[in-house]
Amino acid sequence: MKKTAKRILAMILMLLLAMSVMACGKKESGDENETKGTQKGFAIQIDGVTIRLGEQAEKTLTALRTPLSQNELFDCGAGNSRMLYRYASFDLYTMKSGETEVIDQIEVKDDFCETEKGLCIGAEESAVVAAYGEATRKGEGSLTYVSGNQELTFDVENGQVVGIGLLRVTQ
Amino acid sequence: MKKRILIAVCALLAMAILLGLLQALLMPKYRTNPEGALIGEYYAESGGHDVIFVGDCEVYESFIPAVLWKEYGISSYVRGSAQQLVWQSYYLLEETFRYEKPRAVVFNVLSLKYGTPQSEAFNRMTLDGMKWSTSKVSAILASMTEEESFVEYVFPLLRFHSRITSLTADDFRYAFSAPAVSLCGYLMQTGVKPMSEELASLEGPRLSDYTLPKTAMDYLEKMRVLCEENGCELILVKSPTNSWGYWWYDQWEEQIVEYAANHGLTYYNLIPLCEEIGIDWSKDTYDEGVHLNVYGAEKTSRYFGKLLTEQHGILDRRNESALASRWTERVTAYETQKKIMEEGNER
Repeated sequence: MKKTAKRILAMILMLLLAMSVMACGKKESGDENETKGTQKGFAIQIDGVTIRLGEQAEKTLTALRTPLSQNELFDCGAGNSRMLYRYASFDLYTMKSGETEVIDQIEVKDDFCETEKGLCIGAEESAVVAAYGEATRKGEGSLTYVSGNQELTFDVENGQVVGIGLLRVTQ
Repeated sequence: MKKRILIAVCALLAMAILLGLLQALLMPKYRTNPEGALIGEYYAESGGHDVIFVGDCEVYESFIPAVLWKEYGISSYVRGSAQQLVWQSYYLLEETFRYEKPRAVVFNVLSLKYGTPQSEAFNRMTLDGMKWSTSKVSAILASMTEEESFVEYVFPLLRFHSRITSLTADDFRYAFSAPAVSLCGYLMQTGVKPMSEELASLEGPRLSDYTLPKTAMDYLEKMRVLCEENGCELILVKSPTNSWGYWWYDQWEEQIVEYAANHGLTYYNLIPLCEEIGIDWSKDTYDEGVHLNVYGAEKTSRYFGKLLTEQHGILDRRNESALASRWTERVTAYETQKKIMEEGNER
């Protein structure tokens, strides 16, 4: 009788242990994806600061001047948020998750910014092709180059670059 | 031998009860984050609705069943939840049809931008509240991110066991039942945080691809067929909000307009109708234009209720005494809650 009770108790404890091991074995959802492409890909340069997607935002934000404005957008109900830092020459978007904030997207507004190959708004379409080669995607009024999970797009009007956008492709 | 079996059965029963109690205690109660409690509140109110709203935060912050009843005698319920993905809307709808047969289903189209599961936190807020059924199983399987596992939905204790060290008084108080956070699925917000001129001037950032994901559009089609099979009209709507982070792109608009036209559905994009609805972005939002507050939602509900009545033949049922009596209670509860929250804001 006592033996049976002990066996049952042991079984219960083993079951509880197994359940907690299963639960604790869960992979922590880290920021592996957030830092992909940090060392590679495209970049935007302004005032000697190079901005790369996927990099920790803190270093870049410190190096840049104070933004004209900054806006935070929370996901309804979850812990993530998206930040928009507005500068005179560009808009910088970051993703924030807990303590981590990484650069997610850049939208160039004037010719004070240039790509890592020296192209800025006002450049000739032919100069873009000379620097980057044939576009991965050619849309109506745009040339898009893809590198890993990054896309660099030149908006083109009448053979001239009128906008530059750099973004990370996510699902 | 018989005694041993009896002991074993008793022990297993005791363990099941213990685990059940533990699970009830550890499950999130969604008191400070009430969006997670919305889906589970439907069951106590199911039945007798002519209109069911499904979709993301834009439905539970834009459409107020109490206003639709008071102004037009429309009996409705909002089955919305935070970042409700289209396949979740589909399975929620499939489940809803087992409880009732509404005349119309209104689906907010913003969630069509997502073609893959997004986050466990959002999944949980929609899926944990559903009662077990084949619809819930399918919804879980369609929604899980790579980090999630089905068994953790069956036994949420496996997922939430670590909460044991951070339990609050609410976890004990609401372990088995909790007061509703919504009014027929509408989550009230009475705060006012105006949309600044700068925010109003912002547009959504550039996207890599403006094609609405095929998975999403496939589920929209499934939803259309499901409604058709249940003799129910599917109405597509885009709520009036359009902030930079939740931007409704023209390219998406074109795809929805085309889909609606191809399938003979009515689609209302309320964004360009804000002025006609009477929305004032300095007063009618609680978070700088991302969502409507109760004042904006009241205006939207009045506007939309008129469309439901005049364009879709949704009947005025205020002359049905039993139903009217239930709705009188709900309208009173709505007005009381609004007053209490407004007084709270003033303090």
